Amino acid sequence: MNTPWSDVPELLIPALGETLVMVGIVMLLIVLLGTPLGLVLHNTSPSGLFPNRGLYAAISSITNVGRSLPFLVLMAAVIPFTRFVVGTNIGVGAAIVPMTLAGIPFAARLVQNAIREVPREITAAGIAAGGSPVQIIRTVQLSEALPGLVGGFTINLIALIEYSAIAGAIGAGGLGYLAVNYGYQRFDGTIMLSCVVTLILAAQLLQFAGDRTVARLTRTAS
Amino acid sequence: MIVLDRLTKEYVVGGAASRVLDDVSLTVERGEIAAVVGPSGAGKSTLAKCINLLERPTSGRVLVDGVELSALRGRALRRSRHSIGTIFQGASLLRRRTAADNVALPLDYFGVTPADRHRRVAEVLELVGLSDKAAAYPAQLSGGQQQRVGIARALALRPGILLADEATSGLDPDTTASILGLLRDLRDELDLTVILITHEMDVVRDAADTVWRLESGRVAESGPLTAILADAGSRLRGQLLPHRPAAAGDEGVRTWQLSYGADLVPADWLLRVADEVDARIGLLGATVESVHGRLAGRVTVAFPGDLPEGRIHAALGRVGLTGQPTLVPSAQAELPERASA
Ligand SMILES: Nc1ncnc2c1ncn2[C@@H]1O[C@H](COP(=O)(O)OP(=O)(O)O)[C@@H](O)[C@H]1O
Ligand SMILES: [Mg+2]
Repeated sequence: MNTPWSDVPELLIPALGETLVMVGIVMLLIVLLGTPLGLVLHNTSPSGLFPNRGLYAAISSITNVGRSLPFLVLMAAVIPFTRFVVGTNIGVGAAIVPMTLAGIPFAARLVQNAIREVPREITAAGIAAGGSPVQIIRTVQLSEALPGLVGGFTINLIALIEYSAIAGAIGAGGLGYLAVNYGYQRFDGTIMLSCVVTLILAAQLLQFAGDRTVARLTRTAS
Repeated sequence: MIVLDRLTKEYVVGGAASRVLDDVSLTVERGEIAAVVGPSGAGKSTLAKCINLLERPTSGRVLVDGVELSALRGRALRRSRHSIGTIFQGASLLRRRTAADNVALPLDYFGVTPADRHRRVAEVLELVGLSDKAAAYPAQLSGGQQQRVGIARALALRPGILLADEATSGLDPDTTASILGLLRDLRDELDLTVILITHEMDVVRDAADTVWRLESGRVAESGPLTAILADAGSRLRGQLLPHRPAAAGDEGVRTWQLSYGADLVPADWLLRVADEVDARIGLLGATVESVHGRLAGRVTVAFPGDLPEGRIHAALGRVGLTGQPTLVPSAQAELPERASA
């Protein structure tokens, strides 16, 4: 049974809003928590400012555990923790916990990767110029890696839209919930199509914006 | 003045310690340009990193104007790094900062006022001839210009010492010459002590006052460039004045290897020697360079085979050359064949 096209916005717009809120909050948490973790990963690695084999191995393996679980499995596995944090295991609030947990290790690796790409000589030049570790992290690692970081976070952000759709299955709301409950379970073609198109557009738009930002941040010859 | 006192550096690789620098002692006086040369893997870059303490020496001391850098750590070390400006091999500029902001990096770290920052950046960019490129990003500059920005950055905090590791490798010969010229000018103008680490002999010939040759982490040879060029037994001299293939002499002649000595050699020495021994001399090959305004070189010549060696030596001595007859190549080549027959 198809919802008439005229009624689609009524359902679609709030769902899109929920998705954006969910993804936005989670993204903020991921950037705030994933960036330091990525910095720690890089700087305890052999090429970092404070190489520490043991610490690196420990943090690295924890990060890998987080990354190796498919999102659906992770979401189910952390339900007790989710309930502890937000008091419930359904709804938008409940979706934010597993999404953040899944996103942080992902972001940390992207951050580590982006910083590793900064040429060694640039870091050496910063140290030789008298920079303290904090100054090196800020003016060399983060600043030089910024285009790479934005590129990485764009990937992260698009992955979050996917997570949010999966989280729709536990009643988190948003486009995923709409697509599954109306589009799939009620065989509602218009809703399904609208959700699919909106998701595709959102991903395209984010990628485009991300690419543009990366290009603006990269100072190439012109 | 910079003094390296019995510097040793070991890296632990796969559980075993490998000694990359072995008891290196070295002194560079104020206002001197010292070149550190050696083949790839000799430990030159490791030496550079030990000098500015990017790497900590396993043992030994690094002294800059009497201050023992190697004894400092943390904040005290960072402050003392200002006495050494480091120039890297290409690609060491922050890619998202303009030339001016790159030059300002050490000033930002040190924490100077915006007015001082502005003034100093303009000063050093002027010194390296790049005032018009202050707003350019590294990607918009040529390799030589990038290197000039690197030099300006190294000078920002008025160091007494400039340390350059392969600063001209990867630049074309003209750009290399202009960078070396700049370093010499800066040395004269600012009374800098310069340590040039390089594997390029052209750099040594064009810029160095003294040379240190590293081999497997040890100082194998060192001294003033002019002394080394006059020392016929020096390995370094052989590299600085490479043997070009010489023509074979005619029948009945004897070929000699001649060397320019430490004394001034007159430009018309060939005629003078010919007059002195009253014979014709064949010129078969030569490497002659002007170094610090004096000629240095190696020459292969042919004297008549029956001319007494004593007379030749005497004539050479009078014009400041030394020489030895070379072994006759054909005689050398025949020996093994006879042995196997
Ligand atoms: N961080 C390191 N760990 C282990 N070995 C190193 C390290 N850095 C340099 N080496 C070794 O030290 C030797 C000298 O290297 P280097 O100083 O870069 O030589 P050069 O600059 O003269 O080519 C090489 O054999 C190199 O493999
Ligand atoms: Mg090297």
